[in-house]
Amino acid sequence: MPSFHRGATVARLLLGAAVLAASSHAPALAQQKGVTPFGLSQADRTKVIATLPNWSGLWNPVGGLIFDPSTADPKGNNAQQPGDREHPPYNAEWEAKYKAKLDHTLAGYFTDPITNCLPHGMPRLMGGIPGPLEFVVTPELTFIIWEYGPQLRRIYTDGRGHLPVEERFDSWTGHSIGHWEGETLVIDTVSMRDDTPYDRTGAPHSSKVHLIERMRLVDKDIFENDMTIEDPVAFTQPWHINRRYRRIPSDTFVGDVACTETQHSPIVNGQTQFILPGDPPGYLVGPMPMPPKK
Amino acid sequence: MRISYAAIGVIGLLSGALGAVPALSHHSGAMFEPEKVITLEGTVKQFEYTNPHSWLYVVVHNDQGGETLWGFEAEGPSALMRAGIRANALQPGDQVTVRTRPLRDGRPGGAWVTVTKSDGTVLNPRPSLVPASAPAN
Repeated sequence: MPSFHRGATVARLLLGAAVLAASSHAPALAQQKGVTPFGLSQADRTKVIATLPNWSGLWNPVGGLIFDPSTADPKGNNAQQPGDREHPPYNAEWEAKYKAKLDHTLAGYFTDPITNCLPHGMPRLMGGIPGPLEFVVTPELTFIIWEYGPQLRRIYTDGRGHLPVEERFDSWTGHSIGHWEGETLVIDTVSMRDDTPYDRTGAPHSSKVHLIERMRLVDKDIFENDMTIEDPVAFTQPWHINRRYRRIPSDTFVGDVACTETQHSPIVNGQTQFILPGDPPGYLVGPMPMPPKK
Repeated sequence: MRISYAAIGVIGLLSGALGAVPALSHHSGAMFEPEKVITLEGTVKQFEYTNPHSWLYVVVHNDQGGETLWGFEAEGPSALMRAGIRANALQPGDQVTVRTRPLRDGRPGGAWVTVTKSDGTVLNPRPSLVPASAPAN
């Protein structure tokens, strides 16, 4: 982004951003209203802030830790028990990949990558991680902060585009650009690593996954993220997920959840361990298939 | 048996608000007995208020006159704070009754369900846990 002259009006800068963005690589953001470039005077910036919604406070996901509660199977599962799954619109090849992962868990191997203290990554952060989470809305970008990790998303609303396709590389949270449609934040995210499942069930996605989110307050205590996920490698059609987050009291204690602080449960030999002080030397947990249900 | 004042406060404040909270979000709980809960009595050796999980080590006397060191895992400090279990809630030497979902491989460890102190205080890491099948909204 080129620098902007101080003292210009907000309207002029927004127009400038629109003109610049039109020439950058932002195919999902054909129109560039609702963005604010960096570098405004604080007086002009304050005028933009007055148009943004108040998302302050603490929020907890509703519907548990399965990414898509509406297709949870069995219904109402929390992605914690072997056999718990959901139904993304996978093609046959990717349904087989998911089935193989589910069977591996049923055979007694518990290998959620976050157990090794890797980041949850995207899209999982929006549905497969406990709260609380917080939003920091600024004109130029919005941060989402999770206590767990802590982990952080940056959603740029300064009018930039994604990197050109040939320069992109995958990362845990990917690359998120957004714009405001009234008080709804519309976000386009690409470049997410393909080794982060949607949740503990192990539902996989490819590195071509493309996420569109529409975030808004439904009322002062309910926050909504309406997601559409395209995955041309794994899906036969887009996956639509509506997640909600409920406000919890703002004075609720929030601290560190630092995974590597004392790690008693690393994944070793393909299995989650559980290290006790009295373990025999070299003891490792092997497969622990679930007993048949009565 | 009484529940600590702090725990009542947190339950009153957050029940119904937190929604489905995972028992042990950092790793699968499938290493523990899914439904069987056993009760053990013993003496606290150490209470580690640590991430990603807190640990309570308890010396349990067995029928043969020997003693076994058990390890019970609960959530980390943030979740325990929200559950009303403070860092000083348990001291070495405290007599406790522990309800645990034991490890399925038979070692002396498990998931902390509740710990009851000799004064009757019940320490439940998950007071606001509601079934995952509860209505989403």
